[in-house]
Amino acid sequence: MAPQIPRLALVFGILTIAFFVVRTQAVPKSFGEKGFYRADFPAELAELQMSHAGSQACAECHSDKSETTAHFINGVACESCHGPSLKHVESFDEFKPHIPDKRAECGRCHAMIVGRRADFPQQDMKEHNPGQLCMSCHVVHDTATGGEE
Amino acid sequence: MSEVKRKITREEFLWTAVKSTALVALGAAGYGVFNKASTGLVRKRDLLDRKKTGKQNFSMAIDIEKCIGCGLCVEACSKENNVPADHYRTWIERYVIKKDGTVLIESPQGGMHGFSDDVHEEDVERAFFVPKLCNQCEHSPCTQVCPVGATFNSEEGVVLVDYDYCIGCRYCIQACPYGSRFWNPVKKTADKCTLCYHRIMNGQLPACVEVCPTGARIFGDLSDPESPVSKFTKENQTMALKPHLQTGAKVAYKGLSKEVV
Repeated sequence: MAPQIPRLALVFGILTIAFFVVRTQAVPKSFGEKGFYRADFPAELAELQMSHAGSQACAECHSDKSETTAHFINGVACESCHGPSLKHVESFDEFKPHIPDKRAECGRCHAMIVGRRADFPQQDMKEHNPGQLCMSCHVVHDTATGGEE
Repeated sequence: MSEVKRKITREEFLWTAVKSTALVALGAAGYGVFNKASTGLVRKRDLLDRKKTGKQNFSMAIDIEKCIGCGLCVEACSKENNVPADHYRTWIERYVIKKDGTVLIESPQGGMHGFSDDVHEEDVERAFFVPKLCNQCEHSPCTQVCPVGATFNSEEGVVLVDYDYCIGCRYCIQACPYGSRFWNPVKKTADKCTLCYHRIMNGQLPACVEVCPTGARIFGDLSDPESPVSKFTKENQTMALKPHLQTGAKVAYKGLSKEVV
């Protein structure tokens, strides 16, 4: 046998062993158990902190609002206007949800813009009582949509 | 010079044939054993066959006719998922088709703060809003190009990114034909819509579906025939985006116009 053959075989053997050693260290735990990914990851992701509570959680305490508000009855969630409020559910004193009162906040849905479908209630914000607060006439938590006081 | 060609006897030929066949068979068997023992991988096709796994297949449907372009979904998404500014997991596009045939497509800040009224209504033939998000493809191009297996189709039919394992090569961002992926400068990884995986796995709706005031977004489990999304896709004519790409895009759009597809 030529002398270089055993030497090459030794180098080859060491590299092969090194490959498997590195492989056991580099491949994360649970990788490949369910497919070509880390099987533990979905469960880790599901643990993330939420920020929206969902309307059901709101209605548990504020049934007076949920039962009478036309917006809510028509499928608008509490957090559509009041913003993410899970913190309020967890400690209602420390975190108070946002209370929208600006014209732009109503106009976000009800301003007349190109593309908004015609059967949706909307107003030309420049023509419709400019400068006045929407709440000065409209009661948002009312049984009739856009009900005036 | 005599003959260059070497003559092979019949006996020699047959023996060589037997030996080479045996060698190939041995190699193939060895590869199969090695592959199974060392990786233990489950075939992807098996995972997608949900009749076998009995898992959910979450998806969303979009009713374009109902969308009013308020942008509440975009805002709720970025707050729920801590999406960095100027990056969007979901966004709204406004298509304005003018009388002269030109089409204006815009999505200012992903539609997060709504749309302006600076388009002259007299010039407009028709206009509509199209909410977009990750289509959670069954044969997702983005997961196919990931070199390390950091992005994958989860058992629940959601395409996820393993943020601890992503090496940040950004192949997936280029591979997505819908532009649904982006580079997250905070996490230093690729990022995308997860259908609010942390919410849906805990019995809540995705944030965008929760806050949508008109019910333009419908969420549910496609493997349950009674779920809202299954009913919606059964009762209405819907279509996926870019169906010719055969990505198996699951998000179904009702009222999709040819300008969008």
